[in-house]
Amino acid sequence: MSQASKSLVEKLFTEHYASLLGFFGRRVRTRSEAADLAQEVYLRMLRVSDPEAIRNPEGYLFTVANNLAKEHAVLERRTTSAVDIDDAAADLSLQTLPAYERELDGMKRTSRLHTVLAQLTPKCRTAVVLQYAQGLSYREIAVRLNVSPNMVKKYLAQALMHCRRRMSRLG
Amino acid sequence: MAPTDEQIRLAIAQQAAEWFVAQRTRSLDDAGQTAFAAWLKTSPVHVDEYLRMAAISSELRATAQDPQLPVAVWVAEATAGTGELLELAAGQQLTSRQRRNGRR
Repeated sequence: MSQASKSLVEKLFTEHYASLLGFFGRRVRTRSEAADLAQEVYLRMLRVSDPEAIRNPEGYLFTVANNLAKEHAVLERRTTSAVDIDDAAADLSLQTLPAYERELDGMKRTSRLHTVLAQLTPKCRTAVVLQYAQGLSYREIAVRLNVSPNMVKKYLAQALMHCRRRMSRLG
Repeated sequence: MAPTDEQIRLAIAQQAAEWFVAQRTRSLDDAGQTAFAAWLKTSPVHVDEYLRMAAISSELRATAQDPQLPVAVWVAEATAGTGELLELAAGQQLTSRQRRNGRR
């Protein structure tokens, strides 16, 4: 992708970040999920090579956001029933998931991740659970675990990295 | 000895994990965002590793929400030290285990 279109994406993203967050905020359960999805839109926009997209960049930005919201709803539907889901999302094929997610799919990820979670140190594992299952902010987690907020960030990065290492060993 | 490709990959993955956490905890100011963009642009491997972290994160979220996980036990284990301090501060009776530890 050229520098010109990259800075276009950055400009678009900056201008529309708040509305992206609002858009996802209405479709997911926690603010951090909305932030993850907004981030993912940015990364997908960076990968765009189709000049058609650039002709109407704002339209494209929200098309990407909409697709991502649908994918997310499909994933959530698979893992939990406690979410309010747009019916249209149910028809969406998992084919649209990026290749690396399909790759993970093939490795029986859920049972493996259970094992991986159990391998983390207690505080690291608890930081993960408090963040993802209970939606606590890292500052709230720091208070619960009686560690510094920076330590919580280290635990979260440690957990991601542990999963990443396991992937490369088995993959 | 020169690092292997795998070691380089994992070093980039480590950076990706740190950036990913910085983003999702909204810890980056403008300078941080610029540094992140510069890091991401370094190579396609950087983008790939960052996206892997995003994928792992969404898998972890799904896994962490599994009702079969002994979440309450884990939280209790990890926060036990804090809980004991709070109990002491509140002047409550010590548990037998704490009394034993205290005597040592």
